[in-house]
Amino acid sequence: MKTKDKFKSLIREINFTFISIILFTTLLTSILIFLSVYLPLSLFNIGPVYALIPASLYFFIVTIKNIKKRHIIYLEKKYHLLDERLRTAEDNIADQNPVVGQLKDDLLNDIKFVSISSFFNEKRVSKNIFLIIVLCFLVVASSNIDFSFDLARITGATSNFIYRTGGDISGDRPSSLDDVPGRSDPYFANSSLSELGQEQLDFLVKSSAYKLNLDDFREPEQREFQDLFPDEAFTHAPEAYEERINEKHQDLVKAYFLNLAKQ
Amino acid sequence: MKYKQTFDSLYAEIGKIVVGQKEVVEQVMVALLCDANALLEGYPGLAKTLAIKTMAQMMDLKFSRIQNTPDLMPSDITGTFIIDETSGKRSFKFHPGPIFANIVLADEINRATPKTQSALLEAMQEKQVTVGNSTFQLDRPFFVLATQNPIEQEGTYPLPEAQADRFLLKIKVGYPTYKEEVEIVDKYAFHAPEPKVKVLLNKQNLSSLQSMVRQVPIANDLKQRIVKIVAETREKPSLIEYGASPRASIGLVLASKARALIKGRNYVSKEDIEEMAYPVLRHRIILDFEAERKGMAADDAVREVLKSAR
Repeated sequence: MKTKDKFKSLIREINFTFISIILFTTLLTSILIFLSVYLPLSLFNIGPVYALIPASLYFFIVTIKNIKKRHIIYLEKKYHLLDERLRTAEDNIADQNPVVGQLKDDLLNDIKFVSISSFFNEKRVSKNIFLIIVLCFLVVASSNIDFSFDLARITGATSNFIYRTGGDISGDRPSSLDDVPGRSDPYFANSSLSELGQEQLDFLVKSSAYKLNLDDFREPEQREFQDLFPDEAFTHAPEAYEERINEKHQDLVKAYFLNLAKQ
Repeated sequence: MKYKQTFDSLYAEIGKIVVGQKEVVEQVMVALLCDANALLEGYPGLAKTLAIKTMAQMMDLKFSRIQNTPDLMPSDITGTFIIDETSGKRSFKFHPGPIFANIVLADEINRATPKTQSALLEAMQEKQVTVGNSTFQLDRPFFVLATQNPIEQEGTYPLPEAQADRFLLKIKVGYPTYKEEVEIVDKYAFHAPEPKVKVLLNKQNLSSLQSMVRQVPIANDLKQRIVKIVAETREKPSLIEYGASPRASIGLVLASKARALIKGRNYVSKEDIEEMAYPVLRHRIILDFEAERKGMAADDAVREVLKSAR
């Protein structure tokens, strides 16, 4: 095989090797980006498939940008033995004279000292692979235990907190029944029961019936108070939970437990 | 490359006669390999003539020397027709002048009149001499190595820039170092006869080396850099009033190739361009008045151009 043809195939091989390295490293980084975006999207139930967008954009843009570069320059930078010679020979690849021929022969000999592994950043590749494995594990784990956050609920609760309470959590008295601590989900019962508490009671205080006579005043009646703490403090269980149920309410309680049992 | 050994031998052989001046010898060699002419500028007594004469001897080339004076006529250089009366017949016979040699050393070219300078320059450019109606071809290879004295400028005829442009290189000959001067004194103050030099190259070798110089490859980005450097000399009006022509680009490429071959490389390096830029460009640029007023030299301007062309 002539020197010119050998050198042409050498250049082709160098370009092919560099393109393969670029594709491999870019694919690895794209997978890492995909998983990094996929995990939070899946946790918040936003649409994990959208993670493909940044990953594929990165892959195509970076691959095209790196493939267009002149690869032998990287080779020359890494191996000073080939500095300036390789690109000179490539630029004059069509020339056939003794000097250029000698240059190509020298390069064909010296290229044997080049090893492909020197172009891999081993630490970076290992780190990326490790991160990919960790992210894969997290994705699989989160899908198996069905661990997720309801973003709508979080944003709703956040906006409720901001708009209803004004962000002020001081004071013991909650401003609405929604903020009663320990309040659980509504019981399964006849919907008419829940409507009882929603009736609005309208009453009017007639101020005209109330008379204030400033002339009629007397000294307050002196009373003696005893400072006694009650012997025992106890709470009454709600009537509905006691076995002694009022006759009026017995039917109601029966119906309630029947419905519970049906469900 | 095997040619490096040839050049190393040449330097070693010249070193027997000429002490130091390695850069001068290298640049003269570059001019010879490019089949071009060179202008040497230096103070008297720096072995300019000795170096060129020695190189001519080593290459088995015919050497002649022209001492330029203001009364020198063109015919004194080119030759003239004289009446020849051999065998009883009278005829005009051309008597060739000192220009009919392979290496012509034109000492103090700036002392010759413009008319005489033009006769020499015609020979440099055309490699032929015209006397009357007859044209005579000069023997190849043909080089003119002209010298100039940077002092004693009174009564001289400085080479116009258009003609200085015909010289590939303007080589500055400097003083030797202290050690070199001690060696010179030892060699020439105590030993009278000059040692003889061996003939290391002949015309054919030189001719093949010259064709090889043109074959030395150069990378595209370096070629573009050379053009950029020369173009930069035309784009700095605050520094350079008149920049170099495209002839300088051709010259710089050739000179870089020749230097690469001398250094034993089969490719042109960035270092070759940086080194050759000074002798190729220094006589092709005219500094702006402001730059001259600041005391800048042509080499300073070339340095600025190289920095900005990176």
